[in-house]
Amino acid sequence: MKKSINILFALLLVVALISGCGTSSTSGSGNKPAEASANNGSGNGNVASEASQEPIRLAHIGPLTGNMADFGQHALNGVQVAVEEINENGGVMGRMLEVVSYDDKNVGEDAAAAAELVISDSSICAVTSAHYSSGVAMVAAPLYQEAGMAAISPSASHPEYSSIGDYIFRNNLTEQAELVYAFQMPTIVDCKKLGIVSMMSDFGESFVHGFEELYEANKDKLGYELAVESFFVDGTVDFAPNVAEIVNGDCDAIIFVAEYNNLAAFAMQYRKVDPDAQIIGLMTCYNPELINMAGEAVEGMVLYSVLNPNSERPAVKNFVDRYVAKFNSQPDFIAANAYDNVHMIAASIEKTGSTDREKIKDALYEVEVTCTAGELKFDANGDAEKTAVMFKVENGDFAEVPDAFKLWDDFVAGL
Amino acid sequence: MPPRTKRGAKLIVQQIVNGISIGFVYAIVAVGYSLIFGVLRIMNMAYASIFTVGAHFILMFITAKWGMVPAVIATMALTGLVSVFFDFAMLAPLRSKPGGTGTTVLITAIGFNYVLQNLCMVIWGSERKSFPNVIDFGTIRIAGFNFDSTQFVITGVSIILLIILSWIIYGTNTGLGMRAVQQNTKAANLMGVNVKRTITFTFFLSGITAVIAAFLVSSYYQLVYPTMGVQLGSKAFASAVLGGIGILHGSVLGGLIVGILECLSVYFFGGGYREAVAFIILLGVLLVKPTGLFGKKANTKV
Amino acid sequence: MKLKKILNIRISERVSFIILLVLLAVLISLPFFTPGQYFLRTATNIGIYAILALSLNITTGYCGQVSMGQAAFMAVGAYTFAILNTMHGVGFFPAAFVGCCVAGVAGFILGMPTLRLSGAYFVIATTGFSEVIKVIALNWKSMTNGALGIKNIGRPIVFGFELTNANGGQYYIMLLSLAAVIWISYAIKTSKFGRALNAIRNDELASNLMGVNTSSQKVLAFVISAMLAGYAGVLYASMTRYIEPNTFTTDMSTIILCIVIFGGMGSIRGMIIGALLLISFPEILRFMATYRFIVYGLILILMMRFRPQGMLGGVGDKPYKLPKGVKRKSYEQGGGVNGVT
Repeated sequence: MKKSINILFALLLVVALISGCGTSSTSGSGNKPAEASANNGSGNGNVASEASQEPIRLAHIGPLTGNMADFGQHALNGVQVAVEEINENGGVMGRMLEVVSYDDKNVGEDAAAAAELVISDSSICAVTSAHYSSGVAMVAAPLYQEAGMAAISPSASHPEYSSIGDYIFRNNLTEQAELVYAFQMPTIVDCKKLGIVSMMSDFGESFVHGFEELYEANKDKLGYELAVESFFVDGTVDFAPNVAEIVNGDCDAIIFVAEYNNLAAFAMQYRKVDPDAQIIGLMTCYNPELINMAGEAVEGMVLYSVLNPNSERPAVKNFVDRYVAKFNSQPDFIAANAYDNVHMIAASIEKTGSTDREKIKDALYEVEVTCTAGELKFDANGDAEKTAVMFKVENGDFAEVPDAFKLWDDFVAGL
Repeated sequence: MPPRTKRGAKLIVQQIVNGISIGFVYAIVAVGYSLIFGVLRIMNMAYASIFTVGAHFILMFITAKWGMVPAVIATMALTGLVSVFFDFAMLAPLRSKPGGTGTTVLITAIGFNYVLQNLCMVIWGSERKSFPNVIDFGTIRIAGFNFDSTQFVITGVSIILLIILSWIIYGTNTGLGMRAVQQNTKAANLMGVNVKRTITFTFFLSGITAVIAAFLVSSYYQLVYPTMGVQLGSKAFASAVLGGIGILHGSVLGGLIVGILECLSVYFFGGGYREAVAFIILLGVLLVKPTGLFGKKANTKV
Repeated sequence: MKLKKILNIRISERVSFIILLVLLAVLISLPFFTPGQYFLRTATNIGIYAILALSLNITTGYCGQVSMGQAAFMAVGAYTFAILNTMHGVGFFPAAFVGCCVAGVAGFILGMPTLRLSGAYFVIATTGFSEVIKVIALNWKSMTNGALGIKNIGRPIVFGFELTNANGGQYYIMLLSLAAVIWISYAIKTSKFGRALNAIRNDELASNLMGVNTSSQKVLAFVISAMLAGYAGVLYASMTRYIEPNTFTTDMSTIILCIVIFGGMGSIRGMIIGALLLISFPEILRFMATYRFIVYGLILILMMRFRPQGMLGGVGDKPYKLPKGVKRKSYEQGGGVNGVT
């Protein structure tokens, strides 16, 4: 009995090893969601001549399950919209685009494993949407850098993210840029006593630190006082102690530094105690789910986002129309960023005429593409310049507040 | 150094009030742990996920347009069945096996907890879902402090539940059977107590308690999600141990103490230490008096 | 008849030995014929979990105390290593050593007061300890960088040559570490200490009465277990190069427990095979990945129900072998326990 079990397990081991070899060499078939097999398009005939041409494959890695699943899913949606659009117009260099998707659950270990899988797959030429939160993205980034594969993050905000290497790009507001907008908001809403409620996450801590620095520098000119800072850990649902601190400090406005799902719980509890308080949210609060969950509690809150779905700009309209038609819901910032990423990569491939990973990386620094963010171009560090628009929640919808933000220097001068 | 905030007696008292509310939430979950331990002398590690499943079932029925009352009643039946199934399929076979029952039961319970929780995730999704609050009657301000009417309902229900459970255990024949089984299963059997039925009834009762707790907690926070049992379960467990596991009124007092200390920790140290408070209390209790505040010094080794 | 028996034994032993050699050869040459870094990384990951399972085996397998604290000791080891390595420029090996020692100290601090508690209480205490470690990591910002985590953790540098995943170096370090931990486990198992632990697992009261200092032995086992887990944490940190308070989760402790239960408490082979099967199956059967934790939970339940000694465990629970010449009488015939009157 013992002998046969031993042999059985030895066999199992060998089988496991072999099948392990097997699956990684047949280039990663990816997860259940997401092969954007948009290569049937509208049946145009120009593909026929290049029938033997294989599709160009790009990777999307992001949280498709877990707390941040919405963000990963929206990024994937944005990528799929872009891929469909490009394929309808003939693809890139006559070849169709294809997206392979992996779930990293917003966990560093899974992100690194997915990254390795993608890197080993030689048919994938770039990562068009790399992860969601900065902390997770920074686990995977050194892997892309070492392996020489371009990866664009649609959502990382950590200041040092892009400096990890020349293969690491970021198409999102850097934390510095976010602070420029966030810092203007209390003045815009005429706050007198400000409170900050922040999650103890990498983003939260560094954001609050940055905000404090700006506050200290401009204290005497500002019309408000930073009275309370209250923290909570991820997974908290009971915000009563935080609410107590805020109310005790007589704050009339608070900045909430965390994602929409935490804000929903917090807002409901906060508004019960103080119905008139002004809630200021950041970009990660922009999600229609927020209103579904919190309803009345977030009515009147202000926030900002780099995507304005109501913009008249043709690139934005085009994206929004396609997104709504395909997914029956409004896109958010991460969908727009991911959509832009695909266009940037496509443009780079066109420019170099090849799908070589290094050439794509070089070209990414050179191309300038008209997309939802305007004229998008990566700077020498791998960051992109983005502008944000302010929104207010009115009647259960995000309404744009036009011309709310000023340029930083003008803002400081005007204090 | 704690983050900037306005300090003062008013805030301390408000935090204590908050602590009492949270405390009753812990208490109502802790009672479930105490119930099973009180009768069977095992830690029902799967209780947290039974609680979660209960919450999800209620939400499922409500989404299917049932009224709240039928939804809760149906869920009680369903969750009671799940609880009984847990005992019937997994724990009972182990009871008949000799030796090592302590560890095997424990690991089985951990396993089942995991399975149920992840089933919730797979079936209903891992994101937070909205839950209507039908016991909300607005905020009440008394003497300048904020009280939520839902909190009053929770407090009231906890106390009523405590009274009902105590009556069942001390005032009925079934309860007598439960106490007999706890003291000596074999002797109870010999005295005519149907041990199997008593155990089944206990698990069913604990399932119902879980649903009541789930309903109250989901209404209070207006959220349902698969990991809701994890944090709450551990803290409730700590409360039960603090008060003396197996002793119902101990669980309530334990919950209150944990809740109050937790909120006070936010006052003194900021929000970062909140999660550890329950465990530090637990570790403290286990080191000093493992039988808890109300526990009697037992002869059996804890 | 006798000759055939001897030959049979020889053959099966020979077969096992050959299988072992082939396996070793495969393992050592793995980096040269694998199709990609992903495979090496998974193999390294499996190795780390095998080390973790072996570490838990000492407390749970040999000594019978179910612990959910391995992730916490990993965290202590990893953070100590990362802090020394990134903030104070200490090299891999010295920092790893200190990491192990600090993890051992943590094991002592937790073990001393709690090991006198039984079963469920001990489990809860260890789970609680994990939570406390996480909170400390989150709040002790001056040391641990709080939620921002520690990045750019260094990798082992041997004779000026950095061992990374790409050049297979990390894999070999893992292999060497695994061999060392296997050797340590085996040494413990066959020593007086190991027998004491086994006695404690079977019946603590009896072993106490027989002169085994149960508390000190349990604590020692726990400390060794913590040190090994701390080392695994160091390897893990060196592999992922970035750690933060949320890296070491209760899920990890549960998976490690699952490996120990599946492989068989006390069986070294079981730990390795358990780690291989349980860590690789979500990668191989990708469609099962969402159900991964359900499978782990089911394994715990089913193992306890049908085969509590695990797949390869229970070898040490064979009935006592009577010396030659002693006849065996069954109980009905008047024989006592085990047939010996």
